[in-house]
Amino acid sequence: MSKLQGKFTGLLQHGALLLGAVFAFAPLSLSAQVVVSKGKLQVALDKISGASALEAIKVLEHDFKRSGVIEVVPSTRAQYVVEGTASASALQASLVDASKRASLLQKNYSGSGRFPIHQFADEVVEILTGTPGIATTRIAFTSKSGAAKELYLMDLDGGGIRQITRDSVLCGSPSIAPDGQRIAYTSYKSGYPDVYLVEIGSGKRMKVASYPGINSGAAFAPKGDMLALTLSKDGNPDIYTLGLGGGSLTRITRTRGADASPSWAPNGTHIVFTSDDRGAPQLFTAPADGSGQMDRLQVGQLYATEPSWSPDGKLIAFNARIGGQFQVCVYDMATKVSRVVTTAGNNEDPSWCRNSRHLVFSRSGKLVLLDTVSAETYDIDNGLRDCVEPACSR
Amino acid sequence: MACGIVWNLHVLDKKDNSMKKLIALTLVSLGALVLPACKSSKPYDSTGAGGPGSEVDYTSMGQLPDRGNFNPETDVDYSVFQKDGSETGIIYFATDSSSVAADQRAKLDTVASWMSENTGKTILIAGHCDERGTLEYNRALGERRSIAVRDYLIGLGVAADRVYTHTYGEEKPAVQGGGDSAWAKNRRAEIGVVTR
Repeated sequence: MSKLQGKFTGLLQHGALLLGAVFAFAPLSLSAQVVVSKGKLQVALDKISGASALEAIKVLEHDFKRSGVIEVVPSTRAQYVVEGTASASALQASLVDASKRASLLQKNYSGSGRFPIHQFADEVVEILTGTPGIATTRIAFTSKSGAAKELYLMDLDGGGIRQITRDSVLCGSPSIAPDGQRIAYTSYKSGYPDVYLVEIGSGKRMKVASYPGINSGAAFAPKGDMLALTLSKDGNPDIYTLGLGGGSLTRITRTRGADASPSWAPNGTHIVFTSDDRGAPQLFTAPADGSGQMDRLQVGQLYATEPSWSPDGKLIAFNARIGGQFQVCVYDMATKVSRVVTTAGNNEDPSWCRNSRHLVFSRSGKLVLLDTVSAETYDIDNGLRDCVEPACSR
Repeated sequence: MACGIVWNLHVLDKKDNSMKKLIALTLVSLGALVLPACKSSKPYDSTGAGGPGSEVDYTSMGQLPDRGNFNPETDVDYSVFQKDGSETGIIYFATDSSSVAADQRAKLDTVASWMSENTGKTILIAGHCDERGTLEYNRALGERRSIAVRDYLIGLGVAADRVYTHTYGEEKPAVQGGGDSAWAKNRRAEIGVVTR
């Protein structure tokens, strides 16, 4: 939908036809701003008290702003009011519908740090919009340390950062299991690129793929019982699936090119990946059980890599090389049209958040959150340098 | 004959691994050069149905050898083919390409001759990319380049079980920084001799 169409739709919804005519002559930036704020739910945070109230309000403000669907306003004119008490180790909070004086949510969130507050933020978003919130999203990524890279895990706002590996070797391409408990990733610990599975809680790690040649690009299946990955053991980098229970391998592609970066459809029936079998790298889908042919997605870009299938199944984000730099594009499975959603800098390795609206990717070594609806971007500050290959939890 | 064996190999993919290895070895001894001429219609055909080229298919040069008892980080000597500034052991590639270009093939003739004179030695080919690809695709492209060089050497008569492949993607550039000349130096496969 274009900005202009959006404006008229928004204004019509409010029955302000006359006002619409006036705004049509106003500067575009002003009218666009009006429409965006009209579309957001207005929530007040000034009724939170307690020793850690200021910190809790700050975190909630941050979370709601990034959600793209909630605007924080004073309680005097809010549709919804958050009431409660914040201490260093707990948040006791409720969400009240201001017009009906009805409580929509009342709960205690315990634990230190920002995570309990993110949990409350996500529940508010889900209750008010029906779509899951993303504030509790965790991101696995790698950061450079000398000539090596280490694997890290952090919250979407850059907090709760945790170093997972200390191997002083190259590593990359993490994927977080659907249950959030394990990370699959590539490590050069043996000297070769192998795929490992690490339990986040215990730190227990096991090697799951170390065939001759490359073992990389692992992506968890939606049920968490399989990985899709690139192996070259049969003479060429192709896509396979690997069962995590019995370790059974199924070959998905059989090309002469480099096939890489698989990502699963949310129903688990298909895999999208990149292949340069027919020249420059392009996106293809193939049945995940290895039963059929690969189909090219006509995404309209000469160089297309690193696909990420959205959790709602409708969109595929990917990298295109445009004018010598990488941009993030989003391909719509229904309309078969893709649009470029970044414009500046080098933007690599998009990964969808659970709401199929926000993307995380790396921009010149920094991780960035993008709202694909509003086009707002937020830098995720974590104090580390050269952060790449982010992967979001479900 | 060779085509039939390739087909059996695929059928056995999910079955008996030792049988598969046996067949793979037989395949290699039959001479890998015969194989690219084979065509067969397989369920995994990478080409779309209908239209020109829908019958085109490729057979593989065969499975990679099991990893040898060496560490590619510490037990590979790249200086053997790079003495006194020589670039015999460095095969360069065009952008986004894994084809062994005509002007690089003389180097591989030299390597193949060395292999026939040093029958006890094995080599590792490490594929590299410039920074203008995304990281994971470049890991696969580096491996593809390594395999392209390996296939070419096998075509020259080098035994398949003496050539190992490896990829670093874009993580170990030969030259730091950007620009056409740096990128050209970084799109390469380096051939090293296994030292243990």
